[in-house]
Amino acid sequence: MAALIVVVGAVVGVAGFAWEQAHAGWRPHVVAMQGGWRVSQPSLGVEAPSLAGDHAAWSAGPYTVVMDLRSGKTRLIGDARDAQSLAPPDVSERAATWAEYASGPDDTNLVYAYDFSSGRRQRLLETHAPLIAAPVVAGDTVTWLSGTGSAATVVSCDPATGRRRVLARGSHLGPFLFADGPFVAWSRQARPEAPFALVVVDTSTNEVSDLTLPDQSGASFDAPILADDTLVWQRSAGQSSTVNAYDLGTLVGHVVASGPLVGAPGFDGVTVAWAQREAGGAGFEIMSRRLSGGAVVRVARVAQNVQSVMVSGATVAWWAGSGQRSYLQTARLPL
Amino acid sequence: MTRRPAGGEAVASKRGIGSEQLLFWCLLELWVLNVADLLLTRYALWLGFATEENGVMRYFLHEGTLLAAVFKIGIVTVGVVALWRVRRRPAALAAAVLLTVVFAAVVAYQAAWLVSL
Repeated sequence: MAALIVVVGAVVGVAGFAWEQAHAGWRPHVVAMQGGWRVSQPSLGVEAPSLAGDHAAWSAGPYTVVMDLRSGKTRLIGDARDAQSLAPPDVSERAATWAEYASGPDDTNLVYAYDFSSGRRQRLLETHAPLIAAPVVAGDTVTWLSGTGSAATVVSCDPATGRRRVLARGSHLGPFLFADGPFVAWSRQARPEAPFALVVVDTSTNEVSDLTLPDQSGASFDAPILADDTLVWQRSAGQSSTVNAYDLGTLVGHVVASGPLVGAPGFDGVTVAWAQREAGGAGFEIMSRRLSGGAVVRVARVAQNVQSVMVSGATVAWWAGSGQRSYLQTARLPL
Repeated sequence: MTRRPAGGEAVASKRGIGSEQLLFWCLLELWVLNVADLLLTRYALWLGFATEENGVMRYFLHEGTLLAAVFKIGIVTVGVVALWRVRRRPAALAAAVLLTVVFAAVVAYQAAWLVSL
């Protein structure tokens, strides 16, 4: 009889949990495809996904969701229903980070980190200062750029120890911030139309490099990705658009892809992936090539407009469609 | 000279022993479930996905796990002993059953959430 009382309580508790999960608004629709997954978010849409290692993360309305690409299992890691907006997540092989903004009398900005192995989420920063760039993560270390005027700071934080390190303090920092391995880099630009410089810090040696990207005149740069000592940018000048790769040490660059490019490219240090308009067709193509050279390979044809392409190891992913019909799809890179 | 209990008194006595046994097991389960609730709550807080809604427990958990454990286990132990002391009242058994169901539901909810991770 006493055991039955516990069983009754347990059934009530499990039923309550199941009911709550069944009515959760964040759950994505995940479909297994050949060599990957297709993820959509009914009535929310997929926003600004990020891919690294075995994980992808994205925003969906007020939620931040992470997915294990091996199992297709998804998990809600951020719920910003109390906040006003989100900064897109960034993932490394080991962790994810994102920011939530809550405007109002408090005007609070929050930076979170989520560790894939422990499943632990931590709030790393709660500040009234604006975030100039979305936080980024390399390995376990999260870096953010916040502040105004001459009080802008670049801070890196190890969530495991809580140890913070101010990498830079000054004015005109941003809007670009990216990190890979021990390297953290950010842009510095006196005026929006002026050429920008890149500051690269090797956090393992504290060596600081000041670099200026060549060919900035009349061009705009978007979607920088730093991986394996190489910086990949999308450079647009007039009607032409190219994906350029620059050696971080010398800033010697070369064009990896050109043509009717759409969306932001992806790069993992070995492979560059991008989307382009299909020649003579109404669709789009996901393309890839090794940075070291070799042939351009068509990965997939996509009917909807592609917003960004990501690549990590043998996995390529693209974010396509718009609004509530946007989706994230992953596939194996052709050998 | 000994007095043998009448048939009605014997049945009542047996029933009393039965409900006392049930109360004992319910209180034991309640105590164990309370400890499980503390451990699961502490783990969920460490994971960063839970907030303690009970203001008193929130204060003690903020002060430290040991203090929270002393308070939570202590107060439930006092409650369990108090219910045992008034075990002859039917309300004691009703309260113990209700509390055990509630604690079992809370612990099962937390366990289901952890399993779903």
